[in-house]
Amino acid sequence: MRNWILVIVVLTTIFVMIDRSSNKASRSIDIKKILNYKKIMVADSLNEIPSSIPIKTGSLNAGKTELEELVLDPVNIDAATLVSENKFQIGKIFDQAQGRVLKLGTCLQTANRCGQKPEGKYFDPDNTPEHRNLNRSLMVIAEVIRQNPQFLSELDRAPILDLTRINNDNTPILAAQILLQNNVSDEEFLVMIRNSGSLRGVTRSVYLGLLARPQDNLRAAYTQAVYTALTDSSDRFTAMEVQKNLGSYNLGKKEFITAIQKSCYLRDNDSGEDFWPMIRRNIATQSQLQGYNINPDMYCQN
Amino acid sequence: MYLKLVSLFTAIVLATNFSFARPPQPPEVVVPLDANASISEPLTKAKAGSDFDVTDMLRPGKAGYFALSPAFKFVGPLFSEEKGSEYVKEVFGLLVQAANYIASEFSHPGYNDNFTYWAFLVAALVVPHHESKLMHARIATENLPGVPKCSADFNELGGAIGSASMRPVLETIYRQQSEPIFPNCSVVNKESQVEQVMLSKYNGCDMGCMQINAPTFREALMPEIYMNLNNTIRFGLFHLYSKFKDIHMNFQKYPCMVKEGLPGIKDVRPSFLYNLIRGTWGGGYNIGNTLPGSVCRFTNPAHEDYPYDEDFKKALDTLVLSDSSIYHKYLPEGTLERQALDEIVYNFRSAFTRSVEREKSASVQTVAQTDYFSKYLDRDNKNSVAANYYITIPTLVFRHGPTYDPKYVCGKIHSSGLKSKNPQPNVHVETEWQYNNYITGKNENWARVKISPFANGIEFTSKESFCYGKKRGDLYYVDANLVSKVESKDLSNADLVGVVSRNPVNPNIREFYSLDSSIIATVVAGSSLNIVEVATETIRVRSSDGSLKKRGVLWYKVLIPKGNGKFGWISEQSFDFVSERHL
Repeated sequence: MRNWILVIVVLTTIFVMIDRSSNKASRSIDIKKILNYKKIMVADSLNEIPSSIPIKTGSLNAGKTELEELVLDPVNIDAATLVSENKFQIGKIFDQAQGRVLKLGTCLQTANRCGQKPEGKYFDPDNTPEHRNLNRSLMVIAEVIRQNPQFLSELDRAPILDLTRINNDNTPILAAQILLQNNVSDEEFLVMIRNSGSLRGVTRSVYLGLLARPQDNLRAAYTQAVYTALTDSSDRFTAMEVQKNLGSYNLGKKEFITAIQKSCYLRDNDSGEDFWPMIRRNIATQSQLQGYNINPDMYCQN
Repeated sequence: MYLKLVSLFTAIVLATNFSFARPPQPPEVVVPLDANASISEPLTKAKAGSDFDVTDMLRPGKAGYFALSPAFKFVGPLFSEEKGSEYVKEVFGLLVQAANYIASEFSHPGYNDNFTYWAFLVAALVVPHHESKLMHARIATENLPGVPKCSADFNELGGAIGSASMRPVLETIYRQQSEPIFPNCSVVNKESQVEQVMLSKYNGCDMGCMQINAPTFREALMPEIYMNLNNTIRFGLFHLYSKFKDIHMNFQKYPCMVKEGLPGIKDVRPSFLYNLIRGTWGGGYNIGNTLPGSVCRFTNPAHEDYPYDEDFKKALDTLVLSDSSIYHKYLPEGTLERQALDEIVYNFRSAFTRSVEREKSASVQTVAQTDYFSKYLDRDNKNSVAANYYITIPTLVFRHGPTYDPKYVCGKIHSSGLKSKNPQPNVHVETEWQYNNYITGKNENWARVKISPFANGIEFTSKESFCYGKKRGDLYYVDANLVSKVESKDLSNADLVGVVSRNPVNPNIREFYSLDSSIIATVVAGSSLNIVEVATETIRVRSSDGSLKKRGVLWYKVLIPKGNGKFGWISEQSFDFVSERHL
């Protein structure tokens, strides 16, 4: 029995050593992420790896930073460069980013936000360091797909779809942009619409603009989502930001006027200040953007 | 609670008898105002003074400093005791400009109740006043008591500096370069004076005059923001405004914002705007959320952070009640900035008195148009790109800074000149670098450019008030991907490089100007030139199908008449490269 254990231990050790050695080999290719871009392109076309590769100096110093860290590291390298300069490991990058999205997307929706603690006193539960990491991973995914559209078919859409209800400035926007690169099913679209109710302020305003829908069977659901955002008097901040962006929702003139009428209440407030000049200006600007000649005074009478 | 509201209202109302350019007066005792009194009665200006100590700006207690490498320059004003007024004047100007821009949706000329706008301007002034006493960067010199030139704890990133999530960023950006921005103290201590930037010593996390929480906003640690006062201010105020507006629009959620009113006085704005600023700071800015318990913690003495709210209130009161703020101390009476300060305070107070007086905003608008910052752009630390660039799209917008926000467009350059045989350099690129857009999180390539005085097709945006200056020769920013560098090895060693431009007044006179757009000499068209050498360069131009093509340009090195014997280069003709000759 002892002999068997000894054999297992020895085999495991050998395996670990081989694995490390293999990792070192792949690390040496990692270093090639610092390839001169033109040489990569030439080499790529010749279907071979260049033998002598100059190492770029400066912030992109992959000799000191592992690929895994670079995927998360917006300081050293932007997502576009990370992807374009690691053509040989793009699948690995994509998998790592997706794995991180799954992990962070789940735990950021828990009450303790992945167990993060405030550093300093400041802690915004909707905008934490892990939200930044999540957004970075989404940017990497978006960039992989942009440069290599074939990865769209490998996208795990459910976790991305789930992110559209996270009320962070960028998360739902980035998630929606990724999802919209491919055909969104009716079911997915309805989930995205429903999730807009979790978003606030400028985020919801921009998010709804991304979902702007032509006349089809889901148009009514979309328009209703815009109206709901405008009429939720418990969140006038969001209603006002959505009203400021009415021109981006592709509303027909009749829908546009309905939207105006539904948000007229925003002019009335108890703060002792007349907001009508601001609201009037917003409506007039958005009306012009849509090519409509609408006089706000006609539809929002005091 | 009731007594607090009465005393608050009393103090504010008493503070309202306001006049410009007033002579110094002895402090007056604040007399409690009968809450039932008519607020239209003559009021007495409060001069009770403040127990908020406007201490020595050079040595605010909770601040620590990174010493910058002698090779690296901070972009913006640096505080020194000799130039305190100048520093505060410029910080004030930048704060007002940014706040005016950000809150402009609440400002409507001709209306006298733009109270939200004025309240945000007050908030924009008081937040850095409280957070840092306006201190962001300073100069340390030899033998300045209490102001060491370098702290090893800071520069060498000792254990207490930076949280776990921000330390790697600090190390990567500021320590690991071949010439680190934060070098070891042995390097810095050799200098007679040292530039320093501030980081909170209290928690090792909050940066600069706006005390931005670096672990959350790691992008603000990038030199483009942290090492640039104007960008720091904008970053902080955009964040402040998002919280300010959220709380304002949803004030019903917050018990401390409810319009209780005072006995006999129906107008309830006094407590609202004042509390709005306090709640925005305490909840949104200090703690980071707009939950009622956070925003209204200033009404809860049992809250562990309540003392901070009291300190903030003292800072706010120095600004809007007792005229004893740092701004009041450092901005001399009669100056433009002091008048603007007085206008802001006056208009804010008007909300409390239902004043029928019109708003006073002439000086604020002048400050908003004043250039406080372009002189510091020369301190930018990017590697200079000494070359002319051509724009590669039909129309290129130029901006006040690196942002794609359409509101920031200063004007457009139309590239019609590219079709001529003698293409003119439309822009002179001073620096080119990668900028981390903190809104999108993406890195973008930006170039700081000077527009040639002679470039064709320059169109300034008439309504823009946020750009520095509005003239050729000023510094603007463009998307670096949309300009194409003139490539030439042959020109690199020339003494002077320039091109001939048509004089718009006299077409027979051609100005010869250098890369920095200064006129070197004039040449009469058709006159013979003494050609010394010929060189070829390439430029890339975008053709009608959108593709970039290389174009060759012949340059002649000529002896410039009346040019002090110096040589200059003059472009004479261009030709298209044929495909088999493309470089």
